[in-house]
Formats: sequence, C-alpha cells, structure tokens
Amino acid sequence: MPAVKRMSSVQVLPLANYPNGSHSAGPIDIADDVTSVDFNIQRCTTATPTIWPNASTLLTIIPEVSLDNGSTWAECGRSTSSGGIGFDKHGNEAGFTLAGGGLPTGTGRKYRVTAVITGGPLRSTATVEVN
Amino acid sequence: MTAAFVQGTKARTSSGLTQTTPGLTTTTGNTFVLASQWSRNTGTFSSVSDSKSNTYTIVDTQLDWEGVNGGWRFYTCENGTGGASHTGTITLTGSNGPITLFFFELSGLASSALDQHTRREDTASAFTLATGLTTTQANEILVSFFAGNTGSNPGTHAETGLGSSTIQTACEETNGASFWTGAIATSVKSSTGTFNPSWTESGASAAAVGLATFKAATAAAVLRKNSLLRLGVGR
Repeated sequence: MPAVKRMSSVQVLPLANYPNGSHSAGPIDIADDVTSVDFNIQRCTTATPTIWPNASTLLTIIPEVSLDNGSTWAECGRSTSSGGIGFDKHGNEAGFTLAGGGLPTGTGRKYRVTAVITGGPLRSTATVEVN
Repeated sequence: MTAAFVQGTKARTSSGLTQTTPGLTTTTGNTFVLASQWSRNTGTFSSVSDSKSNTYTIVDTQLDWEGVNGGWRFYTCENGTGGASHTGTITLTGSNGPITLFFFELSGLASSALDQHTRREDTASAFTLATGLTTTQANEILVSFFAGNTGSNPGTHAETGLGSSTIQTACEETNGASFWTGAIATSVKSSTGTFNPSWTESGASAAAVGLATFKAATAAAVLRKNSLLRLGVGR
C-alpha cells in the first residue's frame, strides 16, 4: 500500500458493535510531509442515538508512530472519551470525536492506533485522518 | 547561559475528557510547561500531570473567557525530571468537549526563573495584554501563550509585540473548524524592557493572551589556570 498522503482519510473500523478490550488498526505508511494524524470516531447525537449511547462506555485511543520501519513505536496523542452526547467547540452536539497530536518528523514513518473499550460494547465507525 | 525553547508538542481532541501529548525526550533539570485551552461549558478542569511524576504549578489562575465557554490554564515545572517518552496530560470531568494541550521544554533557566506574568481576554484584534510587563533581569526568555476562537481552518497566527519572536509551530493549532486554536511564541532578550505580546488570528473575534518571562541562569565566575587572584591581607 502506498504511503497515505496529506488530507486523506482511511477507514480503520467499519460500523459494528465492538466488545470490551483492545482493537488495533494499522500500521499504515504515511507520507513524509504529514504533520499530524487524527482518529475520527462517530459519536451519539440526537439524530444518531444508537451510536455509542452510554456515558459509561469509555474509549481510550492510543495512536503510535514508528520512525524505524516498525521496530519501535512511540505514542503520539492518547485521549479518552465517554459515550453519550458530547459537544464541539461551538456548543453543538458533536457528531464525532476527532483526536490526535503532532507527529515527530522523519521519513518512512508508520502509524498505528489501538482503541481500548471498557463498559461496552461500543457501536460506532472510525477513520484515520491524515493532515 | 542563554535561555532557550528546546522543543514542544501538541495534542487535541474535538470532544473528549482527557488528552495526552506525544512523548518527547527531555532533559532533567529543564523547565517543562503545560498550556491548555478547553470548553468550560462541557468540561470542568480536574488536573494536569506528566509521565515523569513532576509537580506543576499554575501561573496566575484559570482564565475564563469566551463567555461561559473558554477555560485556559498555564502550568510550569522548574528543574523537573526528564527522560524518554515524556508526555503531558490534562484531565477534565463532566461532558466530552474540545481540549487543546501544548507541552514544551525550556532550558538555561535560573532556579526560581519565573519573573513577570499575566494573562487576560481581549476582544479586539490585534489581541494584547492591557499593559506590557517589565522584566527585571537582562537575560530572559519571553513566552506568550495565545488561544483564539476562530472557526477558520486554518486560523493563521502572527505575533509582533515581543520583537523578533518565534511562533513555535510544534505548539500551534490552526484547525479552528474542529479544535480550540492557539500558539506559543518565544523571544530571547539580552536587556530588560517592557513587553506586550500582540497577536492576530484569522477569523478570531476574541482571544486569551498570556505572557510569562523566565530568567536565564547566570554563568558562575571561572578561575582560570595560571591566573592571579589578589586577596586582601589583614594587618
């Protein structure tokens, strides 16, 4: 698979009910000029009430990047969210959680992400957004 | 010694409860800074921490801005423990909301380096403090933290008030469509003066502006080999 370029989206979790535990996606190769990668997961809203509806269902997203072709990995922006309705910066219901961090510079970088679910199952779908 | 911005990183979520930055390889003895912006109408601040169990001290107090929405905090840890995979974390309670977190490292600072500091909300661009801060030592590094309310992507930043400053792009967020935007700018000074940051952000109507100045460590006098050291002799 060629390196994923900037301003691209890669589906990593199709719509399904995901049980408790760890769910891994990747690794994918990312282009050398990529500056950040975000994990994008659909959230519960009034219009989509069956998506991740329970506040007791927690999702921890652990993105990692490798600078040595997958030999070693470094975290790049872990985050935790709970289910139920969340809000964006404008105070509106958030249709998704988009989260991540800056990437160390390098060539031939690889990216992978682990999603850890507790209090599930968690019904949703997710992509990786490459910036 | 010259004070310096060593490195930094950022992390953000559009709707979450905790956010951790990517890891840095940092140096023990340096100063570490955590600067965060989040939505107060969803999340209540709980704590900041890092992966090296350092203790962080808030600079000034939390700034509430953007009506009931914006929350802003700036923390430092002087003479901290560094190492590999050094991350910073902010934790909120309540409902999921947007969080932006910057984590960066400063070197060459004196013990008890924090000199002048303040912050405020400004609602007219260019965004500034009410009045500038006057440093008390010639050699200092100025650190300005900016958070804006733009909805633009990108929301581009410029800082012109500190004189020859550098926006540290590793600690800059420009996607105002999804995240709280902001940036860190630094400027190394070799003489005292009065400094007031002046920020612009495309599409912003209000901002949180902060400035903290840090004293550089002074070099100890060195007695060179074969020098003559004259001592007073009592009678």
